[in-house]
Amino acid sequence: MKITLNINQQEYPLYITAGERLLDTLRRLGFFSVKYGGCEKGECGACAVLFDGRPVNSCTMLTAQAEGHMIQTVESLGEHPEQGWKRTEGLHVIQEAFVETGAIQCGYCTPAMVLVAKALLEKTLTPSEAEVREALSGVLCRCTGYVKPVQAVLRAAAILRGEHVNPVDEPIEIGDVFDFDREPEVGGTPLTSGAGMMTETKVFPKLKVVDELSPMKTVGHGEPKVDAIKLVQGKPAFAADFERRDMLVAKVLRSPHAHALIKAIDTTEAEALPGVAAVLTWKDLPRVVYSSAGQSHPIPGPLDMFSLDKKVRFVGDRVAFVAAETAEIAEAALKLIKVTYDVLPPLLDPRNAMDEGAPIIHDEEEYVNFADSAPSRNLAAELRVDIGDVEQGFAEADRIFEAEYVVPKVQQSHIEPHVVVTYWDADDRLVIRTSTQVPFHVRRQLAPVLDLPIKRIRVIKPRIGGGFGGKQEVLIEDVAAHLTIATGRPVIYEMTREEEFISARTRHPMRIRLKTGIKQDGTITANEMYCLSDTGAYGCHALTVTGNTGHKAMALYVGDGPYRQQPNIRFYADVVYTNTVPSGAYRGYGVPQGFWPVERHMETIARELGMDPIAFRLKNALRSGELHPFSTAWSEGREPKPETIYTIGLEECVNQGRMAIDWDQKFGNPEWHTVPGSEYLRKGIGVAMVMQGTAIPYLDMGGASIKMNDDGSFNLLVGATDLGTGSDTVLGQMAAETLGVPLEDILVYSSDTDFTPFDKGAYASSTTYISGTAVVKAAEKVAEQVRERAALMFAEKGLQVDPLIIELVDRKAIAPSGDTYSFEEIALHALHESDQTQIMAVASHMSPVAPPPFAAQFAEVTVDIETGMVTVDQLVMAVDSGVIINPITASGQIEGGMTQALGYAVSEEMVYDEMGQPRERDFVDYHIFRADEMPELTTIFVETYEPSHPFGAKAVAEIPMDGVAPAVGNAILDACGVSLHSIPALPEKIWRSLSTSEREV
Amino acid sequence: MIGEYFRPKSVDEALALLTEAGKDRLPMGGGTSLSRQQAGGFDVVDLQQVGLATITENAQGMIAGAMVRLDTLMTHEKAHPEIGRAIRIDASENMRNMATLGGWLLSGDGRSILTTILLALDAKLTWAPGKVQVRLGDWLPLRGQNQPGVLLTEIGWQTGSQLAFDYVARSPKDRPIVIAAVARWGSGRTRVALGGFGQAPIIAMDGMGSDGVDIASRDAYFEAEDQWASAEYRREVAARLALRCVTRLNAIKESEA
Repeated sequence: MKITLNINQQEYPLYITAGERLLDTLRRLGFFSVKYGGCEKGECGACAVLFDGRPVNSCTMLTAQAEGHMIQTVESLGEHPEQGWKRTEGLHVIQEAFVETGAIQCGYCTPAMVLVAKALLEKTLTPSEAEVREALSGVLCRCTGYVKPVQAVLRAAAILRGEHVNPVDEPIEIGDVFDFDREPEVGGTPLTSGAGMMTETKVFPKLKVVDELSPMKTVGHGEPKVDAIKLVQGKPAFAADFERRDMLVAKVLRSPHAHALIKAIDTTEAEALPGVAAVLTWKDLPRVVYSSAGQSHPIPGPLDMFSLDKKVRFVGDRVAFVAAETAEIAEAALKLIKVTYDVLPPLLDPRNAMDEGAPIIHDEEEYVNFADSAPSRNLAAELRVDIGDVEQGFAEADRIFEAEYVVPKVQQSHIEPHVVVTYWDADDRLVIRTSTQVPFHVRRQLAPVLDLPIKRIRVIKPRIGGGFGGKQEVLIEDVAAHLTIATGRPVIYEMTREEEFISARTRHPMRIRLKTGIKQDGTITANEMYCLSDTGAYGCHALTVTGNTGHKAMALYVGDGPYRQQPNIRFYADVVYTNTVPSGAYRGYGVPQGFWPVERHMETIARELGMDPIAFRLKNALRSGELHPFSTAWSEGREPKPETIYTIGLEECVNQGRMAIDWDQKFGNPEWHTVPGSEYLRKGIGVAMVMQGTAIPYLDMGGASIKMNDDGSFNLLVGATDLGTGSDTVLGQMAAETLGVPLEDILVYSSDTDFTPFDKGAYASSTTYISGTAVVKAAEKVAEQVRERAALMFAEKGLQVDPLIIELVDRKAIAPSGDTYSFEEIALHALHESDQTQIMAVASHMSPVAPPPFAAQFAEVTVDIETGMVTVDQLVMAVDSGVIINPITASGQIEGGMTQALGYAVSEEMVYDEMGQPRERDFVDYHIFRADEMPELTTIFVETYEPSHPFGAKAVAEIPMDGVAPAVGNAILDACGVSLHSIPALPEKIWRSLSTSEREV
Repeated sequence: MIGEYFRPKSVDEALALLTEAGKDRLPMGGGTSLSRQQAGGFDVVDLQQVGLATITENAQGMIAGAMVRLDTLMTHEKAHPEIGRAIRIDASENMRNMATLGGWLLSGDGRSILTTILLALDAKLTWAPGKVQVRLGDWLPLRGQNQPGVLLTEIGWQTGSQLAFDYVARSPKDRPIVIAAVARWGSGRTRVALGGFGQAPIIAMDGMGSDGVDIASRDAYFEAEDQWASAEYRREVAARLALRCVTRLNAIKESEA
């Protein structure tokens, strides 16, 4: 049918089909700011546009409905202020506010949020915080925790009202000590807007500086993200924002059965459908066994999967690939593929996996074992770690505490689905443009699967709309690549939200038994964990995730006195296969699973002993200068090497956090626990202490190269993968600080296997630490060359200067005499004038240590004791992540992480029926928190100086996942006496406990 | 796959399209449900211009056209505050800007608070042709089977009653697993509706006075078990929530006195 759309005040005559969605039409027309979240019910809101000024979801609207209405996208708002000789009005005020406040992380939902904000501020310039949150309620964000987007809208409102707003970076300088006797300073927006206090003070996080540093120009400051301006404009920066002539659309036929053999498969009708270019089944592809886990060589896990197989092992497993001219044709072709299954009994309960007679999930002869994996027992990995003498420790204990805990399968839920585009370039090299966290692993691991040498594959990682570990997987690249090889044509494959839930990766569910020996004075004498981990149908990350569960969670409490010198720790684990969607990497990488039991267990012990739960924990916790207890015993299947931990700000984190949440006024105060007028409500407060890791020692490596341009700016090329975290920005900041230039002079380009140095990718909280050190090393080499060139130039005019004493400041090389050369003069001299050379350097870094970040997590809850419903009112996290390179992006990581962890605590889980059919297939059933239901979030950084990093930094990205669930669990115990042993904290669990005498559930 | 798209200018034109012999045509409100239908072979009749998007009041109560968007109803100054609160929980900003009241009732399930409170209010549906009136409580159990007409045109309810609801969910804006809504009229008539389960909310009680709302709720959800909650939990919590609603209504009554 023929219609005319008015988009951004321009008429577009179009031919459309009656069933075409507005989202598809807009993207076809090049409005790439309108994002596809994979959902079919408008849950995520990334596709929002303004429809006659009101935000609506374009994925649940027919294009035909929009005729006669005004459609507005972010493309109609501001633009870059300088376009060569043309000056523009610059970004819209709302866009500027999003950039300044750090409201943009991955940026995938940003255009939708900007539009929603615009609609709100056109209705009122004095919105309350609640009104802002309500306006944002239709746009899900998995990165930010909504704190900074809310702040951005409030800030924009203030600017539009004509009020003065302070620079975001101004109120709390690095070096300030947070003083609890002082009234809190308010940064950013004035309070006259009617905005709530909850968000108002949160733009720049609170900083407690333990180790003073000399002031820096860029490091330590809340620099706007280097990619923020393009993201806030909705520029075509993501993997799917890409057009290529003759591109085919891929779809995957997925198994309806949890466990079955494919007896017969007939693709005749599908292949005959007009518009279908290729249909591939297991018969068409070489049988190459591999692991989809994106990890360094050699893969520390079994090789147990094929691109396509004749056996399916979970509902959602791959059966066939189709490439067609349109998505509709590809979908229709899937329905024409006739498959005959021999349905096998499914194995769904990991407790039965190693039973005699249990269904065997991996009986393929190509299976490649790793370490102790044993497919005949459904065992993907086994861990047996003994430190000290655990039995002796138990024998010396006055009391033994034993309990079992359970954590569920949950999903990363990045708003951008997995998406990949593949095509042959002019040199017949396969280009893979993909939303991955591990571009170099994709290239290496995919090469044998495709029967291509590594050198004929180029992997490009554009902007990524969130990953959280879900994209540390070679999950979809082979689908499009096989189809490009089959057809010779470009192919795009974009997963739907349902596919994300039924076929992508998840957090490993675990059943964990803890046994702890305790002296009467609260000294831990021995600690033992047995973990039954469920890897699902394939062993992706099976060994390493579960190993991390013990390596971090069982390392924090070593005991006191002589036990501190010689801790007694046992960590045993079996990682088993089941016929469920595979588990894999998810932010925290096994550690949140470990800290749920450990921190719930510690709370129980402290209360049983009548000890203060904080004092009990600190008595037994690791202290500076002590060995990481696991460093002598286990290292992901490689030889362990002793590792001393030098920076532990845990005690200060506790002090800061307890004051921020007013612990001393609330804990143990009966009056505070009741709610006047609501006799069925009880308030509770809880704490958890956690540690994480910073990269993998002796393994993770990152590279960087820097070259100087004619104008004195620098190209920084890194293999590191910014998946929305802001790593490009912090790497740029470290380069800028080292070279003495502003961040704007560092042009960061990352993650292209043809052009950037190797980096293992974005995982294990390693980028700032590993890749950052590589960047600083490269920058130091470049700085040395700049100094030498400046010395040469000084010498040419008769001034002899030792290059070592030349300072690089504010784009200038400064001699002790005060003589200077600008970087532009130096660059022109080096490139064009005399002894010509390219100032450039390459460096890489691998670390022998993995200094852990530490944190104290506090939670305040209200429990309805008649229904069991839990409302989390407040989360406070005080974190020692070393020196914070960028407080705005780092606090964004903490806020977003706490929000994901909040879902883990109270609402998120993936449930399967007795046939292995998943209950959760969309964001309706798998609810993630909306902006208008968030608790108050507070982030405090306790800065220590980690000596193994050039700027003293440690990791920040994963640790916020670890403590929220146990802190909430402990708060529930404090509120109503229910001792939860499993999450999520569903109302019925708590109600059932309260309704019976059974207090442990 | 949707075959053809129509946008009639009046109810009569819509009715003509929807009743044309040999055609499988469905009326479309905001499109939030129909636009994603994968099953093919039907046409859509978009009702955005047929004139069913107004809210009117009379002595008996409030009448909302089937095409009134949830956001419009939520912010209507005469709408009961509990209706606004329910919509805020049920639908995000983007969704309530699109979804229509008629579409919501036609396509929703038992876990909608809005549907539950309209059921408690004893809302009446008007269908065309013929202005056939059906009580929501009579229609919901048969929804999708024998429709009383071709086109839902209006939803009406009395405005003089007191109304309260409470619910339980995993988080404040998650889909509820138990909802209790209680409406009470000046005559003493009290109507309890339960939601959070099944294909539609149900009536637990409709009688004079509030005695026994807990027993009625417990009985009504005696077998309300699914993957989200046990029947035992639902019936006990439904009883508790119903009592809470009555307590709230009593408090309002006392404050008014």
